[in-house]
Amino acid sequence: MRNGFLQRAGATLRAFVEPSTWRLAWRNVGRNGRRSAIVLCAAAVGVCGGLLTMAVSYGTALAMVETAIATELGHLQIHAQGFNDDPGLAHRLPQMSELGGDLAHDPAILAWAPRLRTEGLAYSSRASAGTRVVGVDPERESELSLLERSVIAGEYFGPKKRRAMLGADLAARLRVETGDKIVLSIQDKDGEMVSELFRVAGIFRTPLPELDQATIFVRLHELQPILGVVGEISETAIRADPKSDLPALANRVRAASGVGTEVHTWDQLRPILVFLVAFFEAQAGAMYGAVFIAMLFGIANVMLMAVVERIPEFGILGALGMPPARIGAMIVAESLMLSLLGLAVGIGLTFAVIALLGDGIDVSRFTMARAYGVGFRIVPALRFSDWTVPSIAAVATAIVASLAPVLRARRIRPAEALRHV
Amino acid sequence: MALIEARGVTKVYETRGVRTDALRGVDLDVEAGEFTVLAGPSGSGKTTLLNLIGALDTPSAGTVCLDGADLSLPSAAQLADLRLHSLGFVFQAFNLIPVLSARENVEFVMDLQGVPARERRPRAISLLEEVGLGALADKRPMEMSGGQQQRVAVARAIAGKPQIVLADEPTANLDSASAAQLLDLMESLNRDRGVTFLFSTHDSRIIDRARRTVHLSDGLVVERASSRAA
Ligand SMILES: Nc1ncnc2c1ncn2[C@@H]1O[C@H](COP(=O)(O)OP(=O)(O)O)[C@@H](O)[C@H]1O
Ligand SMILES: [Mg+2]
Repeated sequence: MRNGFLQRAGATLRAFVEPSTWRLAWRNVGRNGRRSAIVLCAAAVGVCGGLLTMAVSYGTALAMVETAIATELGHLQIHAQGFNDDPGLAHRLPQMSELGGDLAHDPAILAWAPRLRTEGLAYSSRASAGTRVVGVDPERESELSLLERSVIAGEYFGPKKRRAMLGADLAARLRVETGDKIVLSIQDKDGEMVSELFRVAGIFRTPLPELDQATIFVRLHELQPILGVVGEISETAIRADPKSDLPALANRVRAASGVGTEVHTWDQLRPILVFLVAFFEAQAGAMYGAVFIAMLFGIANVMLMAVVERIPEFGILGALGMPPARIGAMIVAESLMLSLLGLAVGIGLTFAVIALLGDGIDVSRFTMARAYGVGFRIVPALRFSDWTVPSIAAVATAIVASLAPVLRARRIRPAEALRHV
Repeated sequence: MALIEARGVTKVYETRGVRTDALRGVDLDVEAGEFTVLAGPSGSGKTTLLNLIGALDTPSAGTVCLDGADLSLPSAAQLADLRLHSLGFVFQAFNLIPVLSARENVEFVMDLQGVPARERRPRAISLLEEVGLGALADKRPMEMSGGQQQRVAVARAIAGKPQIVLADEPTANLDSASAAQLLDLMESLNRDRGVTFLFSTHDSRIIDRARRTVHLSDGLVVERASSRAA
């Protein structure tokens, strides 16, 4: 029994390498041109739809991550041990003029910037709001993050002292404009409340709502004495070469930073981003699954029709002594041709659409996009696996779809089939 | 020992409770090199008998032997192999594979037999020339007349060098000129190449020309010696 099965499987495989199997299959695909074309188009549109969904999803996820990294997060952050669990003034690092050890010359590091973080209340003459207060080195920060490029009113700190940068939504809430005064009320490192006057130098709008709604940037060296932490910072953010090996760089930074510090990569700092990327991929995957299931039934149906229509012909093939394995292989080959042609056309179509969308889809009008922190543009992107998965799926679909037709063809007995001519 | 030996062959069809005794104990011998006509009116059991001899079906009782081997013993796959190598078929209609040209149809059986392309191509061409259709080698069946299609089918049937060619009413759909032409062709192949033919017909014009005729009636061979000198 088992032997018989293995023999049949072997015969089927051998039948697949016969050129005549493919020639016959190819001619048969061509004989009902219109029907084949319909299946092929359906498969192509499905594959293209699936691929584009994948591309846009991946592009969205990529944009989300890149936006988060570029806007503020950086690829890596160095903190004092314990900061991630309890972000506050209690965990501080000494400020340094250069990154330690060999990091100063590490080619994978494109930029770095020190920051001091706390929270407090901001008062204007008209309103007040809770806010994050971040002390930054304006020059270094502009190399690392989008802050300087996100200014929509006023200037980036400007030449004068005691200037602050406000997120656009926060500025609206406080009803202040550039040049207006605000008072920051914050606790110093010993828990004493201190109030300090700043003027609004500029207002920024980034793709990240939380930044625009509740963040004030001031100069690091002005914030340090206010909080009583001169020469100390909360974090060092690092922007890495996107082509570099991030975990390896994280390890080098960890080694150079020594005890009492913790180094985290962007995905560790924002697990929600990882979740959202996975979510988008799952969504695209589900869409894909649906496409291939539809393709499966479409091809199975067409192939079944093709077998039933050709019963007398299968009778002749069987009478002439065509082995059942070769008849089966021919049907699978027909199904494979339909699905692989559909795949090829679908991929071609996808390339065309992606080429047309070369510089991406402008999503700045959609508030949804802002809510996700996508940025202003989604460039559809596909990875290698986005090509391999549908190709494998198309082959699997074709084989599964030909199961019922092959079984139907096996039930055809030449003597019966020929009687009905 | 004859090439074909049918002994006490019966065939009963049961369809939806209706029982048909298509063959009721047929004995038949066909020697190698013979040209035998199986004659009989429609429904007399000609197709049924040819299907049993052609290993396309199994008898309800009795045995059919080809070259001494009982056809009821092998598996379906072995029977397919036997048909491929030992039997040639010409059917009444729709013989040819529609998506293949005349030459490809003739090559098809040789291809299944594993004859290499460089051998089967010239052989197919020369067979087509032999049946008078060299010029139509690249035509598809749709582009040929019924008589031409049947001649391609004959070329295909002998291409695999079978021990016997079974032809079930090959002339039934042909006009009398084409029918006579097909018969001439089969006779000449029998005479010049020694191809053994067993073919059925209910056409009296053909029966009159046959050297050996076996008459079937209601599933029984009616002995009527009718051998005509060649
Ligand atoms: N598959 C079948 N099922 C039921 N009855 C059949 C089948 N094949 C043939 N018959 C019956 O058997 C008898 C002989 O048929 P057949 O061999 O086709 O005769 P012929 O070829 O001489 O016309 C007829 O009565 C026919 O109806
Ligand atoms: Mg008949």
